[in-house]
Amino acid sequence: MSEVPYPPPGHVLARLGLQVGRLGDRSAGALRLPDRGPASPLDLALRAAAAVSALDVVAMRCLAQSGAGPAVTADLGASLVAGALQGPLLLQARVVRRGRSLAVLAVDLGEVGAAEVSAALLGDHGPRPLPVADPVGPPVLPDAPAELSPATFGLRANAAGGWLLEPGPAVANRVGKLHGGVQAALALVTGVERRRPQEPSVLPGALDVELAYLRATDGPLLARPGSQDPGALSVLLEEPAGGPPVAWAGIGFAGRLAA
Amino acid sequence: MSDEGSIGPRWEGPADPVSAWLGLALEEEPPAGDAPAAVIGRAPASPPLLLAGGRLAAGPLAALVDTVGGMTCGLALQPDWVVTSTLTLLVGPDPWPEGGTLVARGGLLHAGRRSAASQVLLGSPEAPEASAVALISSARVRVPTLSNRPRPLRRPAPEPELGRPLAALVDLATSQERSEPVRVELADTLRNPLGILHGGLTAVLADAAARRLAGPSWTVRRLSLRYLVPATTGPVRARARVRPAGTGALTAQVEIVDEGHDARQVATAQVTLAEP
Repeated sequence: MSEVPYPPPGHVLARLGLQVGRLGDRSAGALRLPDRGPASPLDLALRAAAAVSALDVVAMRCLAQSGAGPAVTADLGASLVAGALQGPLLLQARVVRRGRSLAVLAVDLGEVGAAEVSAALLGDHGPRPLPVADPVGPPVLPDAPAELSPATFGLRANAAGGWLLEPGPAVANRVGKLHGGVQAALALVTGVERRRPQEPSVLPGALDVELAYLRATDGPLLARPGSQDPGALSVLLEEPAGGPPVAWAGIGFAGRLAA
Repeated sequence: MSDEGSIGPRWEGPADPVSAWLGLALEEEPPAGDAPAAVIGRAPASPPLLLAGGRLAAGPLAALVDTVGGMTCGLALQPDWVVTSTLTLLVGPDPWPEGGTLVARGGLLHAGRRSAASQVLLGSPEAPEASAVALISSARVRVPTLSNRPRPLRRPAPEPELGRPLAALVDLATSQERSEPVRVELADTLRNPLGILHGGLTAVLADAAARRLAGPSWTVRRLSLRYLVPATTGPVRARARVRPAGTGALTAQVEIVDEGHDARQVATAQVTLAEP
């Protein structure tokens, strides 16, 4: 197989500027968020999506470095401190346990929060991802901040007032399916939009996001929010043509952003 | 739960202390049209599911979710059964309206060769999705004694007497020093039909450990557990680390270990707490 550079130019991970390195049995990541804190619910959702994209990648690179073989993210949960989603974002992932078919990883995001990732180990049955060789040593923090717009994550406002995630090479993972991080972005943007009418001027202090990836897809995807209290919301990600859901997301808000 | 570890069939009858403790009745709703099969749980909206002040108690609520969501996944994979690998619960900020019945609707999202997932929506009969949302991811296991349950499932709440040994669990958050971890012996009433610590009760321990450390004014809004290996021996210990997350919110990381089994870690939990 010829070496194909991943992520390619224009890819969501390249636009976020995510850098990954190896620190012993851990993987580390670095990206730079805008220097000031989130200014709006949409801004907060996009920063959270950048963090979730990064932690998913760093966790799965850590698992790959451990010799686990082909694997996919099964689910992840992150608790993010909204006010800390600014400036340098440094992550470190470690394997908590690796079984025969399932692995659990912990990701430390420093002041920003913490996350856990469950990965399904595919053995000989899984697709072979494009190879990535992470340099040994801490990742170099990029000078430029991440590009944060809905388009970075392949999102486009649709006529129904929601968001559509459009597929393409820029939002694909290493096996050509929709990247988990952009699915997180669709869920987060949708969830935060649901919260906006209730508390237009107060951003939450803690933003919790849970994602369960149910099946791989080439997209496109729509988000269908539940009818719950917006403090604890479920969002189903579905293909416009119908069929079983592609992913489930739970989004929670607590507290207020410190002044 | 990991696919490894020494678990085996142990279930010898209809006894279910957790459902008895919660007053939980279960009913299966067969598929209709495009709607997949669902499992409906109903329980009195009262302690242990409610805390003082009418807030939903996340730990016992997670035990209910584990039962309803696990049953939804398990029925979809019959004649096999499931063990929970991830349990996620997000609770809304509003207090529960006075009394009534708490309804939990478990809907199947995915059933595959090795795993299944179900969503559980919780609320009142009038607003059945309004109060909390949850997800159960589970791994398929072959357990002959649990196979071929009669369908559709109809199970009234077990006799309350059966759940009485679990009553002390509600005091775990307040009964010892705040800095002490939560610790329980692995009595038979805390085990599931496979003979291991019940996944929902693991969540109760995580909830109690976080609330004990945070203090009585905080309520749990998010409880997210990943099960690593079965807790088989006991005592089981849950220790939390808490840190602030903006104004009016805390996050906690909880490590749950089986002290009697080389203190190996059996689950990890993330908890978000908020002030009412």
